[in-house]
Amino acid sequence: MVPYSARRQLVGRAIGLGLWLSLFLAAAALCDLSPEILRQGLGKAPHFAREFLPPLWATAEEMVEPLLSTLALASAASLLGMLLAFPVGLAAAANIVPTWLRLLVRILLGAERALPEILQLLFFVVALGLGPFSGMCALAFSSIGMLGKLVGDAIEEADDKVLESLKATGASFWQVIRYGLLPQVLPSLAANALFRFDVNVRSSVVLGAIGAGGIGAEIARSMGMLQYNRATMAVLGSLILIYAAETVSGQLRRRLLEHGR
Amino acid sequence: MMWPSQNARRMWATVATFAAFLGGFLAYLNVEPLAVLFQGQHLQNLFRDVFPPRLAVLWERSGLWWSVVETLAMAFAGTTLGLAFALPAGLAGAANTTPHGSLRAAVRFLLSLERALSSFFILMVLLIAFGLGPFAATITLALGTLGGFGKLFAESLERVESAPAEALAALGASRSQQICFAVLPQAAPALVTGSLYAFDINLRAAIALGIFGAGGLGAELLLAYNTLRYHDVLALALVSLVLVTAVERVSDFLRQRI
Amino acid sequence: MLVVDALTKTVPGGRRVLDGVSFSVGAGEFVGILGSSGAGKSLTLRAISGLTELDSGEVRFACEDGTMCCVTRARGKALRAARRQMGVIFQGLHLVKRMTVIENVMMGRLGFIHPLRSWLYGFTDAEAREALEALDQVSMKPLAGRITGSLSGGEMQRVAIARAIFQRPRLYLADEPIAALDPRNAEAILNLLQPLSRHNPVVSTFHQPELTRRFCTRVVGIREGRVVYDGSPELSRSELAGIYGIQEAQAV
Repeated sequence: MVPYSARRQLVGRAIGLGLWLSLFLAAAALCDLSPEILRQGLGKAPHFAREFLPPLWATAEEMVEPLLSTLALASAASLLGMLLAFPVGLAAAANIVPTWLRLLVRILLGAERALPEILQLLFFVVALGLGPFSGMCALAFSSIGMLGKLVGDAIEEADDKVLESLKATGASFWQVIRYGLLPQVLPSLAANALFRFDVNVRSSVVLGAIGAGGIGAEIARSMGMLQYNRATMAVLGSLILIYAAETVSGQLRRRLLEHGR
Repeated sequence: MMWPSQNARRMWATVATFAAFLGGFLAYLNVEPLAVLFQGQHLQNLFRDVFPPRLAVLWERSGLWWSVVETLAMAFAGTTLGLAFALPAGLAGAANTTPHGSLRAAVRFLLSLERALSSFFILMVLLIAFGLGPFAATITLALGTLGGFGKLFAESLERVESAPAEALAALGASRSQQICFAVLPQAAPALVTGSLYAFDINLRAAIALGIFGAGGLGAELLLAYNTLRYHDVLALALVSLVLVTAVERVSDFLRQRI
Repeated sequence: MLVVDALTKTVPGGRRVLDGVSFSVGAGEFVGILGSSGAGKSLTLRAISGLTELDSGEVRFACEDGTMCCVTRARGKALRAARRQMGVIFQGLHLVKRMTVIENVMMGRLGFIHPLRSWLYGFTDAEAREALEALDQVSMKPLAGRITGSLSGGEMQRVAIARAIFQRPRLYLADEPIAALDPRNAEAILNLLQPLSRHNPVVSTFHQPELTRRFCTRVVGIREGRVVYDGSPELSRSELAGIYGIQEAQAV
């Protein structure tokens, strides 16, 4: 018996492709994906180009304050996230805490990561009202979710021998953590926090549109008032902010790698 | 090996700097967290208005299950559409599979440009162009997938071992045959894992975009929220959680099978 | 059948990794290329296949129509036509580990199959049967349906040979075919290559001179990019020393 048949392979692939295609067509129908709507929308393209472009350069100065606000929001959330991620990560590490606690923390972290940020923001707004504070809390919360898991994993993968030898010299629990764990975990935590900062800057723009203020709110407001080229200016500003944030965090991450700290 | 005291001083200095920055940012935002935290009534508000989740909404609103299907459809259609373009983009953007070096540079540049654009803005534009509804969201998801996974695919292709492709070249296989028989089979696990991951991300995004007005589960969430039915919001949030987790489990399972 | 003419290659830094390498190969020969690591053995083989760019020199090979065509300057279809007449048996890394053994063997004739047919359809039943025969020749037929990555080093080497046999080339190029194998497996592999050489010449690089004495019809010694020996596989101490450098020969 020959263990190869091009025909069988072909039939298998054809069936698979057919299934996929039918699922896709069904999904597309549900999403109102149709060539007519596409053509209609594309037909409006030149009209759009006129409405959205050129960006309203005159409003550039007005954009600075919202941009700074967004930056402050993202930075505060990232800092808080980084600071609180360490204790949370500790509570999520198998080699530090009892199993029940680790399980509970891991489940909470998993649940947090499963929910979209915007949904989390809604809850914070119910508690704290609209405004940058709830935005910052929501972002910090999701930052802790991501960073906490990473720290927990890093602690679990840490070199146990170092911790053992520290314990053997009579160090207390917190001393073991400070001198044994912290140096091992801190470099990757810092690098991840910087990465999270990039993500947070983007998210701050989005959350801003639902009430967290900053440049996102500016974009939404301009769109709402149909001042499309003002909105484009705001978007341009946010792009510059995102790019600047990425560059700075990239540089810092590279320095971190070089220093090995 | 540093003296503990010097090390400790350095650590406290860093913590102090962080705290200072944090305080600065919060002050700029006109936020007084301490005041807020001590008031505590906010947490009370939260617990009173939101707990317990009103699971009854699950059977009261008949349209709810349909909206779940709609959200899944948005994620699936968006992912498929995005991947359909991400794969050729990956092939064009990988040094070992691209027909021409400058094509690779062009594709990489376009992809990074596309990634830089916040999908939120793309959604806004599309909502205006095509009206409220899942169409705009699906296209947004597709574009996002294209940007993110086009790059991932190109990198996975480049990371493949070159030896098998070289051997095929040496025995007379054409470029396309080398790609088809040596590069793609080796990259296949990474590509499949990436695709499943894309679907996970897009499902979460579909819920989020729904809140912005695209329909599906997100729209239900927004409706409940705007009509102040916070217990329903929590119930729907739990539904989202279950949905996302279930899909994650299924993808993990499929990933093992590859 | 194969003429290697004054191959020269310099690397950035000025070192000549190939310095006027010349030799020729005729019908029925089993040529063993010896030399220490880095002497230029593998590089010579890669140059014959056209996988490495050369500064100067030519490789001429008897083409399908009987004339000697130049492989070094060939491009596109001509290069493909020349290469498909050369079977390559590099070390096991050159197989696609995720695919089955028989699929790897069938890839040998990709040079003869039109690209569209190969990716849209695959391989015909006739090709599959022939591949099984090739696997039978290397005693790997029962493992035809297995995933290549699950095989041992010796088994993978046999699959590589089966691929070359399936290709039915006019020349075989083998790069360190027995380097990673234990002595028993190494002998088995050489016992497979020797009969092949009677119909189509085999050019192979080796680390160790002992086995070449028993199996090869000719030895080419390369040292620092230059051919320092070309003749009988019975090498004297001094000739070995000339190829490897004096201390190494004493270790032999």
